[in-house]
Amino acid sequence: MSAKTTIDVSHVSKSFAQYVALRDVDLQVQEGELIALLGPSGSGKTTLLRIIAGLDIPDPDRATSVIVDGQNMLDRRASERRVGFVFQHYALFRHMTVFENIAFGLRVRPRKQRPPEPALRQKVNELLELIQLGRWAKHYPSQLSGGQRQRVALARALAIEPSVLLLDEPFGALDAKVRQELRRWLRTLHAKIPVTSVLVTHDQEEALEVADRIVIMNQGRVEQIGTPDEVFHSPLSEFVVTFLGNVNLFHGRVAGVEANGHVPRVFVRPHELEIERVQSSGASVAARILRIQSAGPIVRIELSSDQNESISVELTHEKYRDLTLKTGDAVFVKVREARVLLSK
Amino acid sequence: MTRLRQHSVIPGFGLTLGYTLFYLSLIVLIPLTALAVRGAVQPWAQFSEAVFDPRTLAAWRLTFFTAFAASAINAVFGLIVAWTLVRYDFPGRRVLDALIDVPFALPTAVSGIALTAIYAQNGWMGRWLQPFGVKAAFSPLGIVVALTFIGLPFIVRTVQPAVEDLDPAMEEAAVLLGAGRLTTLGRVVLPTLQPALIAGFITAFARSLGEYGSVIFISGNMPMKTEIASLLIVTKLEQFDYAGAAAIALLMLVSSFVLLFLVNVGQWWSTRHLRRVA
Amino acid sequence: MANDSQQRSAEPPWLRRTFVAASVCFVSVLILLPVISVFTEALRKGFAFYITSISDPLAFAALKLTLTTAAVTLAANLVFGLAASWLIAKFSFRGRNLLLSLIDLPFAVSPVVSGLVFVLLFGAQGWFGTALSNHGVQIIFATPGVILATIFVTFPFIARELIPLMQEQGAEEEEAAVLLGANGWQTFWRVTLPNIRWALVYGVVLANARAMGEFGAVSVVSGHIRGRTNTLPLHVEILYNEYNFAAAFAVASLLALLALVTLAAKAALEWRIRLEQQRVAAEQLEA
Repeated sequence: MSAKTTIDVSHVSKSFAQYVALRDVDLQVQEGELIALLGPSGSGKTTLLRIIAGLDIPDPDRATSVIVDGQNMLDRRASERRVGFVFQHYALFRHMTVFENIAFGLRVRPRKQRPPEPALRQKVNELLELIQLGRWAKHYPSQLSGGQRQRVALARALAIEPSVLLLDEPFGALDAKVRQELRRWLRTLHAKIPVTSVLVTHDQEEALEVADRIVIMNQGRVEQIGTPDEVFHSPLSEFVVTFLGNVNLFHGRVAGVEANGHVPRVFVRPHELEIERVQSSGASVAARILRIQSAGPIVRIELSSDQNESISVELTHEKYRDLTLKTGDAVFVKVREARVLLSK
Repeated sequence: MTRLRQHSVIPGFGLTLGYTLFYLSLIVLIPLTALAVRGAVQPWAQFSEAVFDPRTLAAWRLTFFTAFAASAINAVFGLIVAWTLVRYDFPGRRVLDALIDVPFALPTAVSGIALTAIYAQNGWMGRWLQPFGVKAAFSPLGIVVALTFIGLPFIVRTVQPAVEDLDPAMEEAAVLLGAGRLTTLGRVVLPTLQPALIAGFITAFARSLGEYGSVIFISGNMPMKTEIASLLIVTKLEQFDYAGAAAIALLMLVSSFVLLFLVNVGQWWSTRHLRRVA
Repeated sequence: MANDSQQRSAEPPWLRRTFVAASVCFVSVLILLPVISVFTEALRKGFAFYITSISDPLAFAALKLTLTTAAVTLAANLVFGLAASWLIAKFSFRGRNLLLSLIDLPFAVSPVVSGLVFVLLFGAQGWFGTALSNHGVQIIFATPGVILATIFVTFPFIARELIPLMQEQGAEEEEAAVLLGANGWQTFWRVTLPNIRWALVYGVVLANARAMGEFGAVSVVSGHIRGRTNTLPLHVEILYNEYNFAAAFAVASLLALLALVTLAAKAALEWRIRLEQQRVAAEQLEA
């Protein structure tokens, strides 16, 4: 039934002098998966990645274990872990050519495990073709653009045929356009070379687009783990629903829900609301249009309800045109779908 | 929980720490400790005899005042030279800049005999001074000249970066507020350069206190008149008065440390001052 | 670097000219004159005498000792410099700042005192004096003492050049290398060393100039035994004290030439290093 679990992290905690980075975190990653660790700064995602890589060690505890590909990582030296790591700022060897950078992991192997020179060259050239930088083999990192450098960093990590590939905000230092291109490229690459991969990012769009599963982290804890679909449409906590995408918050005025002393909080995404000129049902709120932003793939409308709550609605251009809305109009906002979370 | 060191995957901590401490102790710490012990662990009478002896006191006075005079001259001219090198362009500027480093690179014995030749009675400079009855070589004046030679790079290379870092906007603001150029220089620029100037002065001063090679040829080495402290140490050594030599050396060492400590504190203080303003 | 933009709020021309004239005069008289005089004095008795002076067997012995001392000193301090800068730049640990201050100590010590400390340790009345003479080991008034004193005086030079550079470069490349499977030596040779080579050469050049030219410290420990424990600077002193001025300056001119070569090398390397720094800064802006 189950694919092999390549990464198995249990009961990992980590504190630094000033704060607690990880609180008793568990995580399992299946073979060939590409998962994203997503969260704001300080959520612990980079710390967790570095612990898997061996760049940091977790707080000592009997229950703590970090197992990669069947080996207990806490017992092994970093140089023996066969983990591929891609740094945010590439960490390319500035005095080596692109070719030598990629070949490095193979060249430093002990004599017995080192491939003979022709085989080594072939492997490196294959990788160069894969990252489409064949023509740049003899160039130095300083002559490459940021996106090209990151591709070299990836190839360098893949050259040693690692059991897992760890990426620490790999596209964080790049322009938005380059980021998008590389995201798509990463997915294609992963399809060709399905190494178990863990990607750390604070960019939710990136996580939603690239990952098989997303691990949402906040303040050292795992909030939710699920496919992009699951976390976006079925959030399990207030943090998850407010972190991913825009959301409107209404305070508990939903009929037919057992309160039990809890205050119901109603979360509705902007595209789950509709605007109508005439109130159609009770589940509809009177509001005045404050601002219309129609430049873009969808139309964003900001309104203010008569309780002075601010509401954000997204409509398709079609619907917008049908309604002929103007700033200042008094309309009704209807909820099509919502999720209710109870909090004390 | 404070660990002794942060975890790191990079190897070699133990090896480099061990070797560094070993080598440091062997070459620097143990020898300096020997000096401290030898100098300090002796009967007070013996110590004070070595240190407060009239000849020693004369040497201290001479060393101190010549070092101070030389550093003061360098403070004035060093500032002008540093300013000129950074702000003006003229033929030979690069050569001038390169010349500043000569006292750093030239062996002290070489500069010693060269300066003596120049400032002796019939030397290139000495003969101009002679009609005025000014004796440069074999007098305290000669010592000041030699120490000026040694100390100039310290001041120029300390002040130069500070002049380079000056914010042109500051000077422009002063002009726009109505200040004349000279006023700007005096009231805006100079105070900004003051920390670097003081640091350079103290560094040159500390170096001048202990200078030996460039001074002993031009000074004449007459006890009580033109004998510097470091020469006195050598003399005592030659007489096998280890304790006396150690006593004087220890005092010299302590004053160097105090001076360098002052420089560090001064730098910390002035940057803190700037941080508050910023 | 002159700033043309300063013209807006510039000094009056008379002041500018005064400053330039004062600077040129001051530096020429103070520094240029002595340098020139070394060579003119050296050739005072003619070129033939000059050649005789520098090929004198005693001068040769002094040269040999100077070169040997410099070679050993540089090698020892190079190893130390590399170890210390690796330690300080790649790791963070308690006491690191204290270590940095300790490494700088020899700079604060006067040359004569630098020699004195070794006499106190190894001289006849020194701590280890009797133990050494019992074993027939001679340190003071012999080559080992000269080498030790020179090592002390040039102790911080190489480390001081390497440490700031390595701290600036950080440890990420080395981390990447280790994760790719490299051991300590491989990381050092292939990754770190190429990144610091110019600063390394610079430090060696500066240390060499000081090592070959050191006078005060060596004078105290050497015993001035002609042909055996005299370095070139000490030989200059001996000739001078014998009133053999032209010969003294002749030997001194060799040292002066060395100084000029050092300055040229220093300037060339500084230019090189500045280029590298600009490149690194541009990379960081881009990335």
